[in-house]
Amino acid sequence: MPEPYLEIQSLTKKFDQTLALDEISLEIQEGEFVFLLGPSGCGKTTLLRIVAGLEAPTKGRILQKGREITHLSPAKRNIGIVFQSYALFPNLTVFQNIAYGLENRKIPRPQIQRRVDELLALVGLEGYQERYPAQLSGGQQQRVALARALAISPSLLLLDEPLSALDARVRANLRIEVARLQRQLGVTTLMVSHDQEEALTMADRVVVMEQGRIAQIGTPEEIYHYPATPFVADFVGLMNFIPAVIQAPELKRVRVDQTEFTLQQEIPYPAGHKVTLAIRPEKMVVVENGQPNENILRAQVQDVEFIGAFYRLHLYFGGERLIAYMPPHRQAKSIRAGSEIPLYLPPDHIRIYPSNPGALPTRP
Amino acid sequence: MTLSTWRQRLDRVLGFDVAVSEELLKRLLVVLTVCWLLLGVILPLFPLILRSLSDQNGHWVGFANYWRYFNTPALSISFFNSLKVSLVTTLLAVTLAFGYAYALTRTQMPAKRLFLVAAMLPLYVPPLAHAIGLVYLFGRKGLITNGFGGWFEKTIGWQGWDIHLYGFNGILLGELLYVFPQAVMILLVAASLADARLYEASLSLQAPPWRTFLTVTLPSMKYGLASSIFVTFTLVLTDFGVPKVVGGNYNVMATDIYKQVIGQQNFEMGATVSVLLLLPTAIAFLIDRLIQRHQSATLTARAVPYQPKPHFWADRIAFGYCFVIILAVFSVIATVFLASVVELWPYKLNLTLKHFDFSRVGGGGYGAFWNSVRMSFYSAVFGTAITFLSAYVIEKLKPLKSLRNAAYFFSMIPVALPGMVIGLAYIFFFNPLEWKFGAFVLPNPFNFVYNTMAILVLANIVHFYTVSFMTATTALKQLDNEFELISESLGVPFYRTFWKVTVPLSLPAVLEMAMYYFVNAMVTVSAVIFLYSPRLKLASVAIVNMDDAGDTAAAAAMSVLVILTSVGVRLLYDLATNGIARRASSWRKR
Repeated sequence: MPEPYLEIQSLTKKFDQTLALDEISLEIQEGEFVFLLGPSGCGKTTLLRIVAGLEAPTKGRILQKGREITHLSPAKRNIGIVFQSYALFPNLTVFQNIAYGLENRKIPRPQIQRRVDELLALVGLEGYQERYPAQLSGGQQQRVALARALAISPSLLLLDEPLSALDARVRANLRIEVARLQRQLGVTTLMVSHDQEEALTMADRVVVMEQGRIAQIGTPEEIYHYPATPFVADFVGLMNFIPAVIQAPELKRVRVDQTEFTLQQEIPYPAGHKVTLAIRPEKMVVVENGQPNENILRAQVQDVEFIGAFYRLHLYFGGERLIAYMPPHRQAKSIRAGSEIPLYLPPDHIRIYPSNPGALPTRP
Repeated sequence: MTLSTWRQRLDRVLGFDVAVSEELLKRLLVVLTVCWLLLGVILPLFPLILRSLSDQNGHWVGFANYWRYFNTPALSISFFNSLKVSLVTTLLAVTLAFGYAYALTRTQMPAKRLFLVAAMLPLYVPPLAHAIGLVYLFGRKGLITNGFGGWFEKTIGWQGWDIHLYGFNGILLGELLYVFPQAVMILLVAASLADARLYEASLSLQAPPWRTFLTVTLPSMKYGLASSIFVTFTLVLTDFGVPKVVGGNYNVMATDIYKQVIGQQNFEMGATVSVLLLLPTAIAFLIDRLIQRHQSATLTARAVPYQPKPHFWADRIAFGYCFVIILAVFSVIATVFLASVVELWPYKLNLTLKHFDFSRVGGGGYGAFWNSVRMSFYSAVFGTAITFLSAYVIEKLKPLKSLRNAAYFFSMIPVALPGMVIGLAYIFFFNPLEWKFGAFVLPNPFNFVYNTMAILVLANIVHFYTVSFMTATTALKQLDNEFELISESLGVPFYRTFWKVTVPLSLPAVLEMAMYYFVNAMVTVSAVIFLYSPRLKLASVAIVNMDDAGDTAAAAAMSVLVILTSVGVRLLYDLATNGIARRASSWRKR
């Protein structure tokens, strides 16, 4: 492993008596695009602000290429920041906004002009130099904010929910663009988000945070397919939870009610131990011709929603509410509220967690 | 040892490494802000309070002066007179202003825009001028008192109407004219915070109009009402000009301080009355703050502005009501203008400009007028600069939070300080060559400002500081806090962002503050009457002195000059803001 670009070591932050960050340790490689993902209040923004130097940690260190920067001012960290509010200077033109950080560095005028042109081309806003921020759309403003942050060629880009204030369509477009830009420039980037879709589509690695701690670090695929905890499973994508009891650990068999299920995953619990099974909605298959006939869960249909690309089934099993998807070509009409349908749970898609109802996320 | 190692050591000592110089500069600015507020506002109050607890030889006598004040009916009468006339005026002014604001916002009467401007115009008239206008109308030889010079008696057999102006009636009328526009201004803001959805809900629930008024209108205006009551009360209680001219033998505290200090050279009793005057204003201020603290946003982003519907009778009654009030206000002002350009009001009504030749009367004439203009200009320039900077330091800089909190608290105090109190406190603080604390003697390093333009300007800045400070703070709060963070991350020093972003974005507020300082410095008497020197006479003081000497026409002429100057500056301000608005419109609007 090369020396990491950024090392965060046992970072702790207390506001009065509340613990905002609890012993956070994290390494980021040069050129990586890392997401801090979590619900509001999980500490992700605090962590970003400490990395930026806008906030001082209570404990812990931050190293940038081996150099300690824990108490350096933002100006000395060679960073660019973009905020959710854009924070463009409304009385300055697009050109003046982007050149703001350059003009202070005694760079000759023609060079500034060239650099701004270059950045405008990069974010696809050629010809907008003389516009004022109020004359731009939200998406355009955010591009200018990005160009302004990139103007000083920072080695670390910090993005604080930069897409949250935009409407859905613009957000989806800008998502792709920001990710492309990041790859193109190779600038190490740390982005805060509460939008799991954003994180999955854009990140090289995702850091899922929960109540000031790191719940899981991994690639988007790892996070989605192998969530470390029920919290991660439920925060990233949708997850069905089903209570179960271990039947035969050596045979990887568990029991749900009276039905037995086989898992692919090793079972680290003794027989009789209560556990929670988890499976993604899209992995559950509505059985039509009696095949397969193993790993079948019989659930009661509560509602059938037509989404367009598929049907969403709201199901009841025991006391649990489950969700499953069904392609539209199936005869959804035959499935009525109140009827019972068989669902196949593929062994390789069933995850198993210790049963601790208090730790399980609640779904509204 | 090299410079950089020294730098590193310094960094370690300060626990900070940045641009140490920038961080130090921020801290220095916070400290300077606290220092000027201490010097201008807080410290001068101590000698004033000490003086009220001492005898004429400077010996500590405890509350003896206060005891004497309340046990000498000739003195204590002013305390009760002040409270009485302030309460009655407040009650009347707020009631009248409420009706006026209600008519402007909740009816479809004609000429609303005109009534709005007309109600605000008296803001540029010195309270003294109102009083002089009243003298011309209701005084001993007043136009109405003698029935239009006997003309009414000849034609319709009406002798005239003597309202016994000098005394309670005069103060009441003069103060009403003075505070009415201020109360209207506050109530207009409150009345415009109406959410149409609540009215529609009330209507759809078939509530009668009186119930809508009690359950929707009044509650939405209660904070504005409270504010207007306290502001009006404080203004009347602390005003000096009106009681000086039409108070007659009706003693109030503001004129008492003047009599004690100027007439009898009894500084101890002057200080005592000052502290007594300070108490009700401080209490009024505190109650107002406590009430306003409960105010939450009454108008959410979703509120729909209320659009009054035409109503035949309501609109006509509202028009009549506003018309009568404006007529009364303007007759008084018009009288001042007329009296200043006729030979001898009301007997020889031929036009003349001779009253504008001040060479034959005392007071200082045009010299005093230009001194006032200069003083107001300096107050506007330096007042705006120092106020805006203080607000910026307190609102936007991060270091030394407890000092910044203290500075914010100090910034709220001047609004509760009557002008007379500031003036007297400044005498005690700046005049002595040395301060004595028992056996300790400290040379006074600030004595040099005494008897100069500087002390007049400082008194004005402090006197009108809080309102300007709030204007600046409100403007600054609207600016994104992330501007500073972005600049910091781009390595741009904060003072550059202050100059390139913060100031340009706050320009409308800055101009408003400058105008507020100018107009108020132009018309104020109370803050400067103890501080002007014979070499530096002032227009507003000249009005008092000329009126005192019986040169009422000259006083009217000087009032006219003051009014025209203030209105002129206001017009310049409008021109300037229009220009800025045009320039700014490129980035304000899409």
